[in-house]
Amino acid sequence: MSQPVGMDHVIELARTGTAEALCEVYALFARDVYSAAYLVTGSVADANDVVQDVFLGLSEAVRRYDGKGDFHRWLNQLTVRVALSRLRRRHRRYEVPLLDNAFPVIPDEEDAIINRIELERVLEQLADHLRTVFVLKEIEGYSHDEIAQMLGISSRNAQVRLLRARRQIRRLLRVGR
Amino acid sequence: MTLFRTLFRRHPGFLELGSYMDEQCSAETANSVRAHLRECARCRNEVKFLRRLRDTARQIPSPRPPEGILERILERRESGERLLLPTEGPVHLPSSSPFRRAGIGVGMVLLLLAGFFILRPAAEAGAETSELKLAPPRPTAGEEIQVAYRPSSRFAGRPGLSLRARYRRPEDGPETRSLRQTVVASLEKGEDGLFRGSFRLPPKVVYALFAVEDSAGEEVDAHGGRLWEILVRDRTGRPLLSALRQRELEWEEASEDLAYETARQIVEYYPNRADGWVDLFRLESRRSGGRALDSLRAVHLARLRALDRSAAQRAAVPPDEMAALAFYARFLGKREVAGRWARRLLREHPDHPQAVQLRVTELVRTLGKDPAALLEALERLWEDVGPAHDLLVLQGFRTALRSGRRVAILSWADRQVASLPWTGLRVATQLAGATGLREEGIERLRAEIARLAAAGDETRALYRSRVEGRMAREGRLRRVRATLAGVLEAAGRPEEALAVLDEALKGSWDAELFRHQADLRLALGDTAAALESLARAAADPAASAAFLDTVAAQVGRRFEREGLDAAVAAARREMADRTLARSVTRRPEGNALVEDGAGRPVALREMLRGRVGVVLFWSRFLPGATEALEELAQLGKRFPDDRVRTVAVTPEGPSAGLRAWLARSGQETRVRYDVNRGAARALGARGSPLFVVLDARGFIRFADAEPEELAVDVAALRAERAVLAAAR
Repeated sequence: MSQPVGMDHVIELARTGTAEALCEVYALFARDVYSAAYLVTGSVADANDVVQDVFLGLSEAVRRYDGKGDFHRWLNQLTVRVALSRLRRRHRRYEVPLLDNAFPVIPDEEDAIINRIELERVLEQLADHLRTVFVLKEIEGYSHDEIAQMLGISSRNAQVRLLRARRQIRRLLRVGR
Repeated sequence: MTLFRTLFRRHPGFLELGSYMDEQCSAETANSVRAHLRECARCRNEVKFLRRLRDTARQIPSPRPPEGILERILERRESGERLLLPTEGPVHLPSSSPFRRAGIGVGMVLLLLAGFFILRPAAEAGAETSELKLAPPRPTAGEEIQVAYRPSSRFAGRPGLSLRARYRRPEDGPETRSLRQTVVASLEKGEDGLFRGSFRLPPKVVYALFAVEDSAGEEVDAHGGRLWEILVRDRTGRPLLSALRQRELEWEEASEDLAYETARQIVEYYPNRADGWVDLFRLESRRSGGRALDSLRAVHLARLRALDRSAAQRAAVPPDEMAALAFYARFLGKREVAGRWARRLLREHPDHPQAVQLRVTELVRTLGKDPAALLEALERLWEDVGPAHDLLVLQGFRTALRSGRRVAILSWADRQVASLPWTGLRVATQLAGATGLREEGIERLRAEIARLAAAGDETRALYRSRVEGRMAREGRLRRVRATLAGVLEAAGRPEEALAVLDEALKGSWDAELFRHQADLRLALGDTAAALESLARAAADPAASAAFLDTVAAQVGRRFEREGLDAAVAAARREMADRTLARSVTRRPEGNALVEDGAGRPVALREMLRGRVGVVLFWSRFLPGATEALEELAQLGKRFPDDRVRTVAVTPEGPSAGLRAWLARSGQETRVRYDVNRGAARALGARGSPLFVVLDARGFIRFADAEPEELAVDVAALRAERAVLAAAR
């Protein structure tokens, strides 16, 4: 696949690894990298660390980029992998979900409008392995096969995790209302 | 379309709908789903929800990286730091157990005969093999109670037994972890073979649960999983409202059947209490899939009208009633009524918990986009009302974290932990992930570990033996240590992280933690020890062949493949030994019969004969059923040979509703029916979803197996079976 105009130059910049080149590449991609890192880890602190690691290791990593796919996509996948490694170390799996216990509200039939702020709150509460699949599929737009490959699970398992994530989100959206 | 066809048509499963949404299904499936959607409003709504969810998720704005990150990267680069990033290969994430999150795996969970406690006087005996009688049969708080226990054969030879209890008072909430269990009476054996003792029901207790055990706590009679109970009643024999409420709270997470029956009982005994009707409607809606059926809704609307009319005619209305009316009306879509009672509650009783809940919700709605302003408003509310409602402390801490203000974060963290002590671990983990508060989080995690390590037998669930209780405590401790190790590693303290992880792995087997241990050992340059950890991770039955190849590639420069294979083989033996060391060996009580789809009785013993068996007890009405069935299906695929048999047992009988539910959930598992709960009693199953693992001889070995440990449990029992077969 040919790169968009100017992308070859950017890749070359990334390869050189000088401070000036790094600043240029950072200016171009920092927001996207940070966004993907934040969505996958669900934590500002972790996202900060992931962004640092990605740009620090980029000049070496880009040497392994074969130029066949879209560079932007490749960088996104790299970010996701670094963020996943961070998650694995973090072991956040034993957190207690928040529940409002007084009068949990049941939404009306038509009350299905999803509030973006609420959804962000709910995503924070999802278990890492579910949020990751949801973010990769629904926001980052990866296919189940790609997600399966990144996470080392089967495509069917990725589908099941997405299903569970959607269900949990639905439940948490209800609880939060 | 007729009602019959509407009820019994086949809906696409969630997976099918999902792949339709994702445009990843065949043209034939897409056509069939499209045709179905034209006819079915429910599935159309489902697709609409999924589309809205995706659209909304894609509108989440990209946050900007904070100032200073580029400078930090350049500094690290200047200092000579270089990183090798993972450009290929999978990154395995630990998956958390839905059961554990729901508190079900470790909580008290019963699948009970609906109405058992309701139709019988409280504290009455009734098990086939043992009997507990209390006198007086309807005690009140503070009263001395005489106990007579007729044991089953397994306790008959014991000189003395203990009665353990768990008490609930009117002010206790839904959280069960903060409640304690205690031995309340020693039971001495009399000449007639009955065990007798006495105890006094403490003041203010309105609901109590009991189990009998031997004096060492090694064996427990939990009344076939049902426990015994006391519901304190008034002089007329009617259960106190607070007693019924406590029972509902006790079982809400554990047994929806019993919680639902209790809610029904509340409105029967106390028909003029609006809060009872709110709860009933909430549970009915949950059982009917998130929305009330039209017929139920009509009943509730009539009830709301009557309650509203009656309250409106009175000059003085208690605040609880106002709150209940406001929420009841809101659930039923009667916004005018809801608004009227909410406004009156806020006007007359602004400090009432539900008024505070409404005030917090309103603040979030109006100031949600401005964390600083929201935090300030919540702070003022706190000064005004204090810990009036959990939502205030939860929202306060959440907003403080978003604001990034250190003093506010710590202050709200302390308030949350003081109000909701069981959230201490979550708070500590969140602090560890917040900028500039990592050390505080680490200290709190260490304090959590110390607290858990010091926890005694009082945290043991009534139905668990001492050994099982210790196992549960150690499992929780292991998980907190794993969390701390992750935080320490992220803080750049790998030696400390490794020490904590080593402690977590003492005497246990967790492939995910072994991988983490290997990472740390490699990072610290101890390649030989890392190989040992990797071999243990690779020995896990869930590890793929590709993982072993990755490990081989990772350590290949230093070790031969044969050396690695030998290490993995040794690790497998070690895994089996450690896993079997935490198993029990208990014979099922009787030969459990279940029914197949045609109503024919089938003996579980015959189904499992000569095989390692995994029996899942589940109910579609309780959370986690779909995930548990998926786990069971995955397990069946992982061990496809004939030496392992998986069985899914539900307390329902076969029905069109159940078949439709299975189809909707994409489940293809063959189900067995345990309508009389004979199988649950025989295997001591106390909940749903719950896995029991049996060895090839038919002994129960893992009575409440953790879903993520099932594969290891089965592999260990298979290894044991092979050893036993070879020895014959």
